[in-house]
Amino acid sequence: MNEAELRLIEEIAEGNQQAFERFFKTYFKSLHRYAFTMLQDEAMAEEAVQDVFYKLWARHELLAVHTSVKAFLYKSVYHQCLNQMKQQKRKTENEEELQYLSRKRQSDDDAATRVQVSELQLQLQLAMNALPEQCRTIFYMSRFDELKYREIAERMDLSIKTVEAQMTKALKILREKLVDFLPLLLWVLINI
Amino acid sequence: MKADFEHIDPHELLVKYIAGEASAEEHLQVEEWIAADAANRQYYEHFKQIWQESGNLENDNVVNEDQAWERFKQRTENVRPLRPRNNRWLKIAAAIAITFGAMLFAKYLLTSKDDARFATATTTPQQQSVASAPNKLVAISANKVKNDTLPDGTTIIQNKNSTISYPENFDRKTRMVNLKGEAFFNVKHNDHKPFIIKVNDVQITVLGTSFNVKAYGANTEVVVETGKVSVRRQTQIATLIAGQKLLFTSLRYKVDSVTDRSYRNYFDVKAKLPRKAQIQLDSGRTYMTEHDLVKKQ
Repeated sequence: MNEAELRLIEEIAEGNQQAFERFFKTYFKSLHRYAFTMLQDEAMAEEAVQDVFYKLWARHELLAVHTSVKAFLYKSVYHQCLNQMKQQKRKTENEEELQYLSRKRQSDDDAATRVQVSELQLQLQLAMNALPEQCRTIFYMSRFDELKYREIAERMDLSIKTVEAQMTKALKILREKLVDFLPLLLWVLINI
Repeated sequence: MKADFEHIDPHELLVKYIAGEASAEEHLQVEEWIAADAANRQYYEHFKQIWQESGNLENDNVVNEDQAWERFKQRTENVRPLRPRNNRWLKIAAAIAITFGAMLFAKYLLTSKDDARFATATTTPQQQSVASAPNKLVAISANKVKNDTLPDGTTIIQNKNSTISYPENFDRKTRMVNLKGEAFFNVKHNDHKPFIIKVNDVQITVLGTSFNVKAYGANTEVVVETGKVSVRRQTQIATLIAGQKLLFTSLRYKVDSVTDRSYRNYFDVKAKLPRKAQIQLDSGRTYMTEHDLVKKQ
């Protein structure tokens, strides 16, 4: 965590409204992007992020930052998104997510607002959500915040080696889970 | 170069390559590796496709954080947050307290004789008043574990060679205690008077919970058994909940979950405790079962 972040957190802990506004605006976009990858719905993604900030706002002293602000926020948004998926229907966890995502796909297809989401994408989302926490956070920071390994290492107070290892782990886990959805591509390649 | 490459996990380089982190030299290595074998190429294509597909999950529309903030403000307009009270008065009070404290201390230094100054270092396991600051009580445990009850009803179990000092009557706003060594606190709940422990350069603030503090030497360790505890050292702030442990070393701090109850070994022989403490410990345990065991499983 850098000096500026620390100072911001301290100001928020003291109840400074402007500090909270800065805090909100600094992280909102990237958290919204994160929530969207999970929920595939802009309004719901906003709701999830707003809820996370609301909870922090209502109880300033709960702002417990152990690793980095971003990792902490990512984690909160992640759980908020899972909760929102759960609220849709009570089922076992994976089923719930899958159901949610298929329903989502259905309605999106009907509205013809999106390119059809492939089975691969559906499975990819599930697999990404199921990554271990640190692995997931690092993968998101690299993929969606487009942060360099060095920047991720700094923000999370880790070594670059660890970031490299976690990124590799993420891709390996995803590949393992998705390999059944990938063979078509392989066949095409061999024929080229 | 080739020999080096074989010692590295090729997949790690592959991921760096895809994520745009590879150096020019690593680029060549990866391309060579991909070309070497059809299986390698397949592996690479898998990684690449996963990387690209994940990118498609992203939202193309740009959200506006200013508008989002407006919506957030509307939502919070009619609700008063719990904490953001103005603590200017607290700061003024603190400034006065510090000034006054400094004056007292100066007086103490000027008037006290050597024997009085070292009163806290004696090994009598009894409460005693320090001659120079008549309202300050100091509890010292020499070579045995010791139970104590503070004026507010908070119970303390002190490990050997530990010192706790506190005012005979707590002031109106806080309950301030100094600790050297190790002790287990079961703090009597009081929303209006936070209980503050100063230990080494660390400050621990609670409303009502039970937890263990260990500070022999420069390191400070806090283990929370029930409730919530806020720990602060200069700008480092952490909030701990039941089942968590925080360790401050000279520069860093680290939060872990507690896996066993060995931190209370020094006093956890029930038979030795007076009945009152037993009851409190038991109730502590019940609380833990209800709220935290579920989460741990």
